[in-house]
Amino acid sequence: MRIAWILPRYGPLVLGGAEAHARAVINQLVVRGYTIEVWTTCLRSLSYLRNELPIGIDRVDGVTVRRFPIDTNFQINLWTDPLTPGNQYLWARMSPHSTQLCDHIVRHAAEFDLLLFMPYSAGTTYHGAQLFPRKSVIWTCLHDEVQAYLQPTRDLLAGVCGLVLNCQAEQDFLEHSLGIRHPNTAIVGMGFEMTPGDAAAFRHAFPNLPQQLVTYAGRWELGKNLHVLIQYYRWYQNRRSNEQLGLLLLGEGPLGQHDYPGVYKLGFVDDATKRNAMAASAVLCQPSLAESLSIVLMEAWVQGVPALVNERCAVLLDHVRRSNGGLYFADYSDFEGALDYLLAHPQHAHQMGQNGQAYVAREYNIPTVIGRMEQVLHRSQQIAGNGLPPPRGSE
Amino acid sequence: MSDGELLDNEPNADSIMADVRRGSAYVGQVDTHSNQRRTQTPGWDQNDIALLQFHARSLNQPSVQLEIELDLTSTALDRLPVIGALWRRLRRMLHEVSLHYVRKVTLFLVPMHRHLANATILLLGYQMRQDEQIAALEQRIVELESRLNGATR
Repeated sequence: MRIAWILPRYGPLVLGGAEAHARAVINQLVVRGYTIEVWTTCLRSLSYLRNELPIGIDRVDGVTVRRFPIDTNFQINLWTDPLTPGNQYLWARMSPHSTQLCDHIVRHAAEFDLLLFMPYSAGTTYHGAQLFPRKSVIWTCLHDEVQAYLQPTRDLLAGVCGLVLNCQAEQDFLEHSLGIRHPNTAIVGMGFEMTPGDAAAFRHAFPNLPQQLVTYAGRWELGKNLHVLIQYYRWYQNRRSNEQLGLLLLGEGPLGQHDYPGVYKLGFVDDATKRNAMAASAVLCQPSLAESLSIVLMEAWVQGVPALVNERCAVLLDHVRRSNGGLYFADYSDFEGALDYLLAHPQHAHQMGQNGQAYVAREYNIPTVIGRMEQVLHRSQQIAGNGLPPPRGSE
Repeated sequence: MSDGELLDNEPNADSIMADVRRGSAYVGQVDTHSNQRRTQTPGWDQNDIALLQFHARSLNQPSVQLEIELDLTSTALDRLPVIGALWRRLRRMLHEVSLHYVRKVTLFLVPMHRHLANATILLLGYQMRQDEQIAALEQRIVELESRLNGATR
């Protein structure tokens, strides 16, 4: 089967959940004989809409990647302008996309069995998936956010050939909050290797870090709620003065420009260092509200580290409740109490980490995930190949 | 152990969080003072709050406008006869173009800042009222406890 995989950013220098997710699944499908081409833009960061990566053909992990320049032409601010129907469609049309990428889709879609777009929120998905909806599948990566409720988003999701989701909480959101019951929907997720990290190697490489680490990994952006974690951590230290404790930040982004006592910024690290850092951590904190799977949560659980997640993110709460692999917080008071508990009860914290590890091994092992992915791809190929009209699922 | 089945002594996220929210998870692990007034905003002193109020109110003033003026530095080329004047004029024009876009972006950001400022002022007001209510309730607890102690004696 030939698949064109279309997303706004792609490559080893790109930091992002959906992008890392795509790369892992693409590599696993290529091993199983699928022919995949990645069509993307020259973006490296979503914070800075600049054509940073070179235009043209590239090879990433042996997969052909075609990059096209991004058009940036925002005219509507979703957060301040009134959400009239006209503004909603104008905002969707103006979201960052690439005219040249759309032209390429028009010219070359016939050479592929399916067009797979991700995530739902990208301008490349909004513009691209409408060109050939009968052969377009969207890997949604849905979050409970304003954009998801807009009419253009609902039209888009209801009109394509198939939807791929990451977890049960995402499907619940799709069906109950957005009212979309698409007949060709599958929960797939992402497969994880259960590779253990080396805590001792990490301690050896970074000997000046405190004994107990609360770790955050991901983009340093307001959208990931990192500022809340930093503020909570500072309040916590104001009240506890725990010199053995530090907040470790892995990743990069605009919030990294300030320094705070007790906050250690390691920046963008390779996979092995990230694994080792996770293994050396006491707790992984995930404060984000906008997660459709949370790769870093799974990576921490692979290392047997308990998690402290934001209760207001349905996906994270669902993972924690189903796995019993950590605690959650809705405000500072919860954060303080939960962190106190995890640090004061190391045996329970260890058990929670083990529960999380078992959850990942059970729900997100590679053969199971790829099996689910292959099912939805073949079903979508049948729908596309039979020339059936796109299923209408919106209520 | 089947999926979702818990051992008797295994930690359970929901029950631990219920304990944490009742405050019982702390007992014996932190000083009593830390357990008091847990709903009051921690770590913020009056100076922080006053500064935040000042910034929020400044942002929210309708008269606040960002005035950005051109400030060209002098270069060696400026001092050349005829060419220097032309060069300076050209530089001014190019800088005016940049300023035009800076002003456009500023106009775009001002309503957003006002929106945030409004929200901040509202939240600060809520917080102040909440702190007053907490103080009143704590005072009431002290009074009731002293009455209770008097009654039991």
